[in-house]
Amino acid sequence: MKIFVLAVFAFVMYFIITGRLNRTIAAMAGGLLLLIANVFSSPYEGLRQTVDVNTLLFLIGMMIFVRVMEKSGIFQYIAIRTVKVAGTKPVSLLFTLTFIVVLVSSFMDNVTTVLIFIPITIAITDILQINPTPFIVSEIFASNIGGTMTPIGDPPNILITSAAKIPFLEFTLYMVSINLIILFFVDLAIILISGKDLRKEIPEEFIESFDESKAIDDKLRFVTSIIFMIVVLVLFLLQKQLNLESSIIGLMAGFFSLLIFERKEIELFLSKVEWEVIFFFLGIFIITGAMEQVGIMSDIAKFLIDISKGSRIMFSSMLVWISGILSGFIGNIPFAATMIPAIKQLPQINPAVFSNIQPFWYALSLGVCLGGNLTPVGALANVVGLSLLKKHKGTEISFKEFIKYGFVAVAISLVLSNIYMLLLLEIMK
Amino acid sequence: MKLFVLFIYALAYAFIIFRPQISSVTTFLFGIVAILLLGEFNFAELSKIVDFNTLSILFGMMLTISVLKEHGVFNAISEKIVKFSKGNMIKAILLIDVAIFLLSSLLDNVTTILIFIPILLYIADITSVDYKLLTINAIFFSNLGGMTTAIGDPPNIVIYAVSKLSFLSFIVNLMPIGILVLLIQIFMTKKNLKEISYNTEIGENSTIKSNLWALYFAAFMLVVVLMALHEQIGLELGLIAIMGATLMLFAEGTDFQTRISDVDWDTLFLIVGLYMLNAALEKMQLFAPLINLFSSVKTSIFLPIIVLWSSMLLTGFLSALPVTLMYITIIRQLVSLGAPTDLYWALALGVGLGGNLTPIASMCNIIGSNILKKYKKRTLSFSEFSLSMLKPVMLGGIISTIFLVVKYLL
Repeated sequence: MKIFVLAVFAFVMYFIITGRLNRTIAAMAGGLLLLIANVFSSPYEGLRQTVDVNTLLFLIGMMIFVRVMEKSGIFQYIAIRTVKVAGTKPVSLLFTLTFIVVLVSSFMDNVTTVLIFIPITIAITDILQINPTPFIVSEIFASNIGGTMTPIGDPPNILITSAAKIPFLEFTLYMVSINLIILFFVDLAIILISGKDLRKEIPEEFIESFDESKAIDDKLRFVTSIIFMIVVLVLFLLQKQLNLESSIIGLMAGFFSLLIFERKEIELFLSKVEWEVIFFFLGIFIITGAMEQVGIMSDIAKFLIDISKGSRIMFSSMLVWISGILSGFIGNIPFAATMIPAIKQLPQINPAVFSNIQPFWYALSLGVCLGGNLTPVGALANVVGLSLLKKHKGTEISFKEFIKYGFVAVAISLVLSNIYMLLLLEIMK
Repeated sequence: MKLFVLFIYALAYAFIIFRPQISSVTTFLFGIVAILLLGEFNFAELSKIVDFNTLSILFGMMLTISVLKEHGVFNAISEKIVKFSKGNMIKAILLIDVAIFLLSSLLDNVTTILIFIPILLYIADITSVDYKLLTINAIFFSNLGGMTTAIGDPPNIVIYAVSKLSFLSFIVNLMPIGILVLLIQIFMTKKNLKEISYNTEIGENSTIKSNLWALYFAAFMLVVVLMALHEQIGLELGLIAIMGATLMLFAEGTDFQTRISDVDWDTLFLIVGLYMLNAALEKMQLFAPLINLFSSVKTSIFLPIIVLWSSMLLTGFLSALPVTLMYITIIRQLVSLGAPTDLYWALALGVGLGGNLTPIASMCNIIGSNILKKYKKRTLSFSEFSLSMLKPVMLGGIISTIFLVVKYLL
């Protein structure tokens, strides 16, 4: 069964990497094949076990919401204001944008962050008539880096911190500095790679000629949209207190905004949701779930522990690198979920060496969250961000093209993380 | 709390009646609110209250239809029929009616209407047959056909998924009634057409470019065969439908997003909303008084007959899906208490026939009159539509009643 699951995974990956076939169809076909082949006790049981309905519904809701908000001109307005503040250098613009993205995504979902910032960014690059690709890619990276910083920024972190019972502030304290450093070097690398796209200086008069008030067609709608957005944001921030699932907030936001602003176009908006992305995730959820089910995930965990039995440094480095590279290809949530019990067992395996497992939680978090930047399918934010770029500008970034950026970004992230881990191991003796 | 949930339920249905254009979104939102009121509900367990099998069947079939349409399967079939009739217009009309019935029994009713009504209108033009009669008949046969299989129309898909009866049992129990009503109705129509029998030459210029359509049609028939055998192979219909659709997409190799925009999301969200509303009502045990009332007469012959006629009438105003969901929860509980499964057939027949009663009762009717508006610059008024439908619907109702009585007596 393990071999069969791996074969299906390889088959789907082949189509994703080569782009031979629409990747959604490939992922769906792979997922269905696993369901029909009875990898799980029954096909519907498999769906129930593996598919994260919460995430999918949340995505559907937020996609509708952002699309409706977009029509009020609110993103263009923000874009023009940002450009006027950030000045005439694309490079400084890139730093500003990614820094804001990191901050926002450390408290909000990476996908939400990307959903909001990509339309703004595309509006900006349209105004300045520069290539949006480096901006989009660096923002996707920034959203994943930002997610690594706090216990609530990225789903694996939620799992890790709740299992290890690390307080919010303590975790954030250890993670902020290293991630900001990583962001700086990743940005620098992107600027070097994309070269002259970003070196273009934009004349001041050109920027001044834009009038943000022209972005607003309908003042009433603009104002109500802002109020609506603030309400949704507050709901997300108070999520814990109100005990609301993010899927419910997302769906409510999406469908209420549809009802309020676009009553006549409901069907159009529903059909324009990025269903391709939703069903891609559906397929991927099933495939990763199957890998977990047949024990491939725990095999990896066992392997990791076996090769680094006696050394803290070896184990934490391997944890960073292996989980980092794997996260580019397989879902990082199930992987983190499998590693957590494995790490917890370490003191029993070798009590002399692994008396303090505290630093390994950070190694795991850095690996799985940052590794997602490696490929276009490594994290939710990557897929959503790239599909938005395709929708707005028609430019499709191929697997190979993305991995050029992704490889550099992940290499920088993991090297820096590894160095940081050596430091942490010293601190947390 | 109970009252509040009931109030939300009523409000949701009020929107369905009075604001049908936005009812998918309102129903969905009311559904979420109702679920939230229950408290302690985890959305990850959505599959417990929303039947994913229903959604997968609908979704899979919608994708399949999109692929079939793209490859001209429907055009090819209609062209074959016109050619086969060799200019005999009566033959053409009757064949088209039968084709509408058969295709609707497996595919979406609206799609068949979209293909065939324009052809019927064209025939009406050259033969001076009453086009209203032809349109009404086409709509009726489309709804009728949809009633006869487990995948024919959304209400039947819901009934199939909830009742867990087999695909074949739907055909065995419902198809004979459908065919009987079809034959009687065709016989009556033919009497009307007799005096104006007419022969015409029909142009030979074919629009079919290749025989690829036949391949896709064969693939679709294979899916249907698999569905008929679903109990033997041990797969749910939903999985078969999605698998079929995915394979066709795989063969086609197109962009997923273009295909998926053909999917009728309105219907899907409406169904999810209705399921959520019903689950809330069920959890609050608001159906309990009704169930107690009916369980005392659960084996009586009158129960299926009441279900048949009341659901038929209600469908005229609420449209088929909301009525189906309303009834199905009660019927499922009654059946688990020992009532006969005939109640499911009564419901399928009721909403299937009732869908013809008013121009707003089913999507098919709305689309049908839209086509009429486009080609003939006039619409059928509410009363005009309902009056001409009354006779065939009553006919269907009477035949169904006889069927239910006979089944009870056996």
